[in-house]
Amino acid sequence: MTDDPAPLESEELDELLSADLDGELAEAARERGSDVDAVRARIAVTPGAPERRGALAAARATLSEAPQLDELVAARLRAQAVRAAGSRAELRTAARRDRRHRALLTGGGIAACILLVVAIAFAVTRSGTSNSSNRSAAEPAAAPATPPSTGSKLALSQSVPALGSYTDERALGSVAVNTAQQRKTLANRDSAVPAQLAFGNSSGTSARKAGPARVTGGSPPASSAGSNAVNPHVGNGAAAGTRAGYGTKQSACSAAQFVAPGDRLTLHATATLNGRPVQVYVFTGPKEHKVVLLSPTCQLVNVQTVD
Amino acid sequence: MTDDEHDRDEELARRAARGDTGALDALLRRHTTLVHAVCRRILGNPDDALDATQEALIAIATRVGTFDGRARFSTWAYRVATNAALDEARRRGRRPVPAEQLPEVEPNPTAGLQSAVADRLDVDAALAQLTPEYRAAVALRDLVGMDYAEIAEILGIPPGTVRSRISRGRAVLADLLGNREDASEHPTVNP
Repeated sequence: MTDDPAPLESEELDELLSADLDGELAEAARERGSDVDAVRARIAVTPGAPERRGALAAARATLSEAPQLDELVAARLRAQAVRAAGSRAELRTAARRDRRHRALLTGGGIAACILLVVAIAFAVTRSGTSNSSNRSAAEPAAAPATPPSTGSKLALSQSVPALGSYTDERALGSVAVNTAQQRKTLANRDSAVPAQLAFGNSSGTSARKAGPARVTGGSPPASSAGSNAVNPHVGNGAAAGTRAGYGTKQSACSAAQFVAPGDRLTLHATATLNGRPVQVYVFTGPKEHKVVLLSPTCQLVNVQTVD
Repeated sequence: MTDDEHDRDEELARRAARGDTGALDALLRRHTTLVHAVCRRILGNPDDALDATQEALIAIATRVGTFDGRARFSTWAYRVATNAALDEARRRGRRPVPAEQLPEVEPNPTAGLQSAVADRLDVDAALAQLTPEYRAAVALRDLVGMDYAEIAEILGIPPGTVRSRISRGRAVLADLLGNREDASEHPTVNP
């Protein structure tokens, strides 16, 4: 005995017939746990199935007809869409431009802030360095002279006193010694008075006040008898430390090597000799003073002994 | 659509995405009729259909750059159209109008039962009994020719649900057409 296929319910029939019209019957049967043949058999035994298939096919054909759209209306719709796309593209371009502009502004702002911070840091650092260099430059002048035996290196600085312009080493030496003595006297009288107060500017005013050894003209002797003058060229390379421009950069010149152990540095000043800047060091010993003149690059210009 | 036509679509879409206005216009020209048809089937109202068509075409035109070619361009475009129509339906608060509230479509024996105008009115009247979601399944299948899996993916429903919705839409129209045929077979004779 075989089971006859059961007829389908109305909605079930519509769904299977509709799926069959679309070539989707196999999938519909599979979802129902059946196969195509079994489903077809059930459709076949369902009353009115062929008529219903025809009706559904007619409906399908009717539904497949696209509603008419006037070509002018269609063209208008398309034109508006194309315009909208153009506007959107322009907006996107403008937005991209705006974003780029904003990014540039932001980047520029950040860069400016960084530069400002760096500049402030640089200024603070420079200020600190300048203060410390001023302190280190003032120390040798304000404090009692360092014994030459220590081989101290004296820093060149714009804060050292200027003795004026000279054309003769001996005149400059005398003024330097007088200045050193005057400074010593002042220091003894009032230790709080800085040594620089006693010195004038580079015009030579203080040199005139300083003493009788002022030289007003004439060419300097190449070597003066009795003054223990030394040929400047002898001292080439005798200076130690970094060589730098006069009065513009810190430097250290060792003048102590030209004096006897035990002599004290009593003056460090600047002057102009024959139109050239020189560093003036006065070392005071038990019986005499030694005046050492160095060029801004720490080359020996002259060494003389002054009683 | 043949494979060549799909390739043509994708080429036009690529050019349109690069800003080629002519390519965009050509692309829209190829699909405007069906986009409108889908909107009309889903909304059942000519004015609403035009609004939705406009929205759909604008969306296609402005978003063609996002078309990644994973699906066919037509599938992508009709997905956009379907969403535009369903959005329009939700916006307007349109609900399916019961058939008895629709204007009666009088058969015109002189023009024949297959008159195109009468058919369209009948289709709108028949489909008005369904929700827009049902009508969307029918439109995508019978107008556009998508298979059930594609429709399921676009509408976010299982293929079985697509099958039942399409069947329901056809059955409603079949019933209406059947009744009309019955009526034409037994015309009322006015005194």
